[in-house]
Amino acid sequence: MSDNGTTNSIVEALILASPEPLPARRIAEAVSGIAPSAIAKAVADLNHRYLQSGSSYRIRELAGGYQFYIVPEYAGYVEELFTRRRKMRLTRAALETLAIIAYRQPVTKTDIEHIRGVASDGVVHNLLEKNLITITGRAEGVGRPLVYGTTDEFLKFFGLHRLDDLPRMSEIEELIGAAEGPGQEAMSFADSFPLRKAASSPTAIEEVEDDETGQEEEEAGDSDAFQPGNGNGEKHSGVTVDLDRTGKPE
Amino acid sequence: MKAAATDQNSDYRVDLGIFQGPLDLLLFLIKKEEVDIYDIPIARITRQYIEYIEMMQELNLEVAGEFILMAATLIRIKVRLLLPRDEDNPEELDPREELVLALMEYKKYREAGDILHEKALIEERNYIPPSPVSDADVKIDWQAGTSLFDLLSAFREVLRSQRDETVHEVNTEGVRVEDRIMYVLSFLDERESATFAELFADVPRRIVAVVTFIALLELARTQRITLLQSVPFAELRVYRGEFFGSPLKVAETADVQQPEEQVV
Repeated sequence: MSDNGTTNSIVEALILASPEPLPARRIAEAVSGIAPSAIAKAVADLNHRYLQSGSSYRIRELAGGYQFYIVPEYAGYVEELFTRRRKMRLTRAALETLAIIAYRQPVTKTDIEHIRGVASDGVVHNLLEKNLITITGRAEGVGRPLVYGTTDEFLKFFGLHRLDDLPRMSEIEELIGAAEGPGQEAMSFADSFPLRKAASSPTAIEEVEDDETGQEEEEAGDSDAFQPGNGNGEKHSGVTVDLDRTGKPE
Repeated sequence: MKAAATDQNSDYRVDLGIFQGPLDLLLFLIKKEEVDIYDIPIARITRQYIEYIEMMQELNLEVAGEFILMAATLIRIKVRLLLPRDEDNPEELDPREELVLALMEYKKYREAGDILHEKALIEERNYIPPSPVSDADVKIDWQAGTSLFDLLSAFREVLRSQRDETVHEVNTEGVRVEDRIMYVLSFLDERESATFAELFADVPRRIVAVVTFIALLELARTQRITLLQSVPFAELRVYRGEFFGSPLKVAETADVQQPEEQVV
């Protein structure tokens, strides 16, 4: 306490030595009498010093602890000499399942499957194997199903300090809403559904029908676009490439 | 699209290459057709949806049952749209409403999954300098609790490494929990701690492993041993617990009237 410099150096040494993100309480185990705020201050001091001296590294908070890392600015140089370590690749199925678990935890597999609209045993099993999720208990209710939650490993994998670092669901909704155009939450579903507003006469429905049959030709043209080499939009090319790949001649 | 890229090592199932499920496919069609999600032209989307499923079948991809189910749902919605509406019931729901809600809900998490993917890519370039200390040398973090799941994973590892020899002989296995309790305690008499693997090293048969595991649970419950990991997912170690030395009169039968009941 009398010597900030010493405290800072001790904190630095401990974080530097730790193979895993080092929680503040572990630092307190080693440095008797150090207050959590003093640890946070030491880290801030150190980072300030690294910044001042133009160092390539900083201390960051990850998965509830402190850890050194090389700032991304220098990643390019690092990769000149060293192959980028390939972290495990997650499939889209895994990512969306993880997202559901992260935001809804504790959550049952049934809930996950309900949202995704597909059976999810395989993905959940894989995520468990990869330690990205864990069983956190059992739900109340019929059959007392297992509930899942994310792990520290999950936080580390995505570079998060804590779950709160994820964007809020409302922010994501806004993001989607902005892309969607009409029909944000501000509008109730009753307003959003034209059928409900429109006089529910048979003619209204016929109109819908006409509309659709009138689409016939245009659609036929559209479906041609699925053929490889014909896609022009981003979406189309995405599918085209993929179909091409999976549909290799036997 | 990144969807195609990340799906290359899909270990799960092929859903027409990129489609995770019927909701994913529907969202794709809605976007492609540039129709309003709140006013889906059901007939048109259904036709396209079925075309895709047929395509999947032509490509010999296994079409998951959920895709077929959704086709049926779409057709049912279309039928209900064709039926005259109940004039007297203004509360009558648009037949599409349930589907739209499901689509919107799914879409949120799909988006969140994309955000996670981006975060993972960023994190991949955050290089972490190696520590001079290895995980195994980290001193025990007494406050990092060991969960039941850690325990079960450790036990699963033991069982996995345990080749059960097939013995075609019926006999009663003379393994008792109290024997294994004594075994674990004597192990810890000699040394302060043992890894899970060490404790199960001499176990000849699966059933003995199971009974040993039960013994560990019982010992942990009565706090004769403590189970700890130095860091999350590190190997579990068994330590002497607070009541390591206390006499073992009732423990072996897992009697309800435990003296240390408050411990639980």
